[in-house]
Amino acid sequence: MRAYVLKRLLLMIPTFFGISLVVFLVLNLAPGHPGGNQQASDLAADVRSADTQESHRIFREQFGLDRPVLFNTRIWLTQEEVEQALREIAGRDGASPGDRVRAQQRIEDWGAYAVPHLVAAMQAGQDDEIRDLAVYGLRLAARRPLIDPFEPRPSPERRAENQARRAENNRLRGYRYDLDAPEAEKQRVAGEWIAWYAQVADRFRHDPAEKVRIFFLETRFARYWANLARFDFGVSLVTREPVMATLIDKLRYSLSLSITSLLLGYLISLPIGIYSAVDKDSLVDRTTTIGLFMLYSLPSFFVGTLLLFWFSEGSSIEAFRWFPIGGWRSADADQLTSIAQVRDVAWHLVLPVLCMTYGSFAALSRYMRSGLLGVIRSDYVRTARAKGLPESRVILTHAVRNGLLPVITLLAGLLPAILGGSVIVEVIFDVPGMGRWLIESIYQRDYNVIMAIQLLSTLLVLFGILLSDLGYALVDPRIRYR
Amino acid sequence: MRQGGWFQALLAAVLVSNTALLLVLVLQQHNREQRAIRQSAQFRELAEGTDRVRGELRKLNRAIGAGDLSGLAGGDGDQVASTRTWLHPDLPNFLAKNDFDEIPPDAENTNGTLTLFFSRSDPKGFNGMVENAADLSELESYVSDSIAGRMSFTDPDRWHGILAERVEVTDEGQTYTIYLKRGVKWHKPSGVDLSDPRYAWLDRDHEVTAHDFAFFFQMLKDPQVQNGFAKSYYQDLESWEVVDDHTLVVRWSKKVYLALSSTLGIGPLPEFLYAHDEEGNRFPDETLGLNFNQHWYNSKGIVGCGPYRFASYSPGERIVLERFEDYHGELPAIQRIVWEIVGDQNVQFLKLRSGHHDFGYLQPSEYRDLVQPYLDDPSKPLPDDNPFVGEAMGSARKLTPGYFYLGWNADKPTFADKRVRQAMTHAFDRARMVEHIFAGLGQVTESPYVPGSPYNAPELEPWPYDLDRARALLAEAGWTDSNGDGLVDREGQPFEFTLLIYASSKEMDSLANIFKEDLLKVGVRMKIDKAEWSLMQKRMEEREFDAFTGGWATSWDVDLFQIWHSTQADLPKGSNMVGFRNAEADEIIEKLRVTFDLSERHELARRFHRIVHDEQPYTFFYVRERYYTWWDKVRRVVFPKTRPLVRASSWWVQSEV
Repeated sequence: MRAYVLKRLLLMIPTFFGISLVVFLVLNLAPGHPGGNQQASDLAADVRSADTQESHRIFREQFGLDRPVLFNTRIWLTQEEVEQALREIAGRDGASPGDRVRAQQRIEDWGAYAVPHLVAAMQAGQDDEIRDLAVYGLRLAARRPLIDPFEPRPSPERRAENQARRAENNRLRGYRYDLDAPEAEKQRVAGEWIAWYAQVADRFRHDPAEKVRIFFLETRFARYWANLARFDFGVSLVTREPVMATLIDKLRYSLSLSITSLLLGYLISLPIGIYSAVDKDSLVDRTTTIGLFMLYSLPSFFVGTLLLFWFSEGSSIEAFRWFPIGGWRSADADQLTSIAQVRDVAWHLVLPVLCMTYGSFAALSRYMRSGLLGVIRSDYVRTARAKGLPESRVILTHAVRNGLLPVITLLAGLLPAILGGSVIVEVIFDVPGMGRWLIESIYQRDYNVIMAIQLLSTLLVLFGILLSDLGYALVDPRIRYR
Repeated sequence: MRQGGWFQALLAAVLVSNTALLLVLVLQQHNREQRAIRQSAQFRELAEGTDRVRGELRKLNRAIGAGDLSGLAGGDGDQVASTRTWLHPDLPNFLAKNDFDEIPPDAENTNGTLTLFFSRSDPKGFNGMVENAADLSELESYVSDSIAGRMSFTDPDRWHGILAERVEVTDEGQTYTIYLKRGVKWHKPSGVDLSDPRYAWLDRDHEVTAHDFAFFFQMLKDPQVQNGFAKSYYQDLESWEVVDDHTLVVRWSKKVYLALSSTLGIGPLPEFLYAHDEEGNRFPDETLGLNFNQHWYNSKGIVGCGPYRFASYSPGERIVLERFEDYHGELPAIQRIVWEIVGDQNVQFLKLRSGHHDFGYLQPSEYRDLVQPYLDDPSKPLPDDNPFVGEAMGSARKLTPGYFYLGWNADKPTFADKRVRQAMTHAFDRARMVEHIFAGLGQVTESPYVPGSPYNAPELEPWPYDLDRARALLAEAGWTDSNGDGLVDREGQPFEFTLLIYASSKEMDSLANIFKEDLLKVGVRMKIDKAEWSLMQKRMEEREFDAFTGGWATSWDVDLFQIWHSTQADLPKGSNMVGFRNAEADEIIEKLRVTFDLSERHELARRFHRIVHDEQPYTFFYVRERYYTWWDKVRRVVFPKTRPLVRASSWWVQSEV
């Protein structure tokens, strides 16, 4: 058994890796990108002045969004490709406005890999417009990112290196001209670039070993995993807050909701299931079955809204103004005693928990019913009856104990639902938990947050499956794992 | 067996006594907490009382000062001001006296609480330098002060001093010399425990000085700081100079009209906070910008110097502002403003209806069901459960500065011809859509400016809904039904295009469907493509669309460059997504940027308006109207002419008892 558990745990590592790869790919290849602004912004919000472009570039660099997703083939970038992009920006070769915009983004993403080719294109000198565009492109491509800028106490060497980089970036920022500048000025700036490149050309040459490293490691995926291996989920692309801290904070809302609803679900469905099994096919059994399945088929977003409109303080019927209108606690919760605070939160939880729970009655009580029916006919139950035990004792102590086991193992399968189940309810009842956070993050393409939540539920699924497999073995001695 | 029985009994006894003990403990704790809470409430009341007395004293002091009894009043900032020397004493003060009482002069209660809806989701951060969201700037308008403010209620083209007592404009609007008030205090940071030794470095009073403005400009221009939206406004900013602690000179390299509002509209940035990490150590210069982007305080709150201090923030729940009793100006009448973050529209509605929110607005569908029937038929009996009609609530319909439109991709051959775009406008029944989809909460527009502003050409009327005219225009452009299939075609190609709309807007969906049917009547087939926002944005950036629905917020200063200048058509993320290229318009736009004379500006803007009216790069659609409504306890609700429209500092709230 121990060997089996160990084997399963080890197998989980590649599975986890595989799933994370798929999620990562889907996320990064989905159209749209982070940094968009959902709200109607001011007129000039997205205008791209040269400065704007640079700070946008730094944003993309910080989160690795300028890198390729899986493999970095930019080391084999050719002169032809770069010049093609420059021509497209100039609107030649029948490039549409869309092509022009995309070509600019391409050059921006190539970054440093395009520098030698841009310098060459600038020097080729047969075409003024291409030269101007190359100079314009170099401005962004040549700048170097700072190393570990968020380190709290950088060493003197690191500081010196970063100061040098900043000084160089500042100097390069000056190597530009307005399009209507005199030709001599343009020549001078081009000369500065050539002189600069002559000094630093080594930086852009890579030996084969380095090329292999870049090919595999200078990518979004490698970067993400390098951080993950240190249990660093990164910071949110939207708020710049560490994802892990926010995750733990949000978890308490979602966990209170789902664990309460899980417990409640079991507490209510089990007696119903037992009753249905004992009184099989009676009128009560049939009506509860029909009733529960009707509940099961009511969508929770619909029921949630009805509950709010009927039973919250905003209800139009005065006698039904029982529960708060959504939220997690009252505005003055800080000024309550601990007991009153617990009561306050519990009061807020009633409607959302109800809304999350009613759907599970049908399934759970049916499982209980069929589990119990399976054992109720077995010999030992008959023996217990023959012994003269009262019927209640026969069912509750002898039959239910065995009939319960498959239902308990179901719990393991419900583990991931602890996270996923509350998305809709949290949105409707305005609970600031993980579900609402996930939805907002998806809209804003906050990759790090989506990844963190997905990985967490992946882990829960994997452990859930393992636990339920082990659970079966515990319940039924005939099942053996090797 | 016997032994087992004893054991069980013992266990039960222990359990019961333990539970009883626990209960007693919990109850004791409960009582103790209750006492503590009662005491702290008393303390708070006491503190608030003291604050109020202090505020009254200051008011009195000011009144005495104004009554020319300055000798008695002692050293208030106002008196020191008169002894200052000006760099350009012969120039008049650019700032005028505000001719509107932004603080209610006759408030009967000065310690009310106002609760209202803030936003659907948490702010992405509270640092206005790196975040550009409408909800954040609304918050900032309470917490942060700027150099000067527009006279938003009367004449927004004129400015009154807030942090500055005098501004001198020289070099034809290229140089601004700003004299700051003395004795203006920064709020103390909230969201951290100032009694914790870790944050002791923050528990100090700081004065707002010219250095804080210099820090603002430094961060603004730092390439590492991610504030592209702001940088583009300050492209032509040349330098800033701190003459002394309270004097600042700002120079622009070009004569641009926007320099005025870009200079006077800025607020200081607290260097004592943002240049330091959580332990109070200063960031190294070379990484200051990057660290500023994700400063530890960005998610905690705002430190400002305005009439309200940022008191607390609970994510997903609410933001609380409290009046800053040490404020340098006149104190507003409302003591606490509670902004609730409500993710769901139904919850927002219920909170307003039940009186949990004192102020709010109705969605068009809510307005149609709950208000419109009673306006249409005043004799209709008022129902009990609908406070939106009747005496209990006040209301106002306000146009929001901005407009919605359909944009035509002029780079696609189909829409390159202006006659086709005009035909589209004729087929788009704007009046009916505003009436039916938006419950009449809006006004059909034909202009890129704020409705009612003098920039509009007065003689222009929206193109009427006229399908015959649309057909004729299409025929002129060569689109006729040559094969009799009911659809127009040209050179064998049928007229088909796709309209890109925002997926989660029900209104846009119905609008697109009505338009689709009308277009079929003139022989054009339109497909509807729904995309969620980030996807839609990507399509528009890459110009992969035929037509789309969009909206712009408009500001008081007209600057047409970003949306209409031809150079913005080919930039990634440029805002001229429809590819509008018109040499005459370019010329007007450039001239408008450097023209300061108001009547000349109006004339230029009108000329531009006429071009846009004829070219129809957009089919202008409508200006949204908000139906604002508030419970009767909120008094003196006044609305300014510029954004943000909701300015609670000009209201007051009746006391509860």
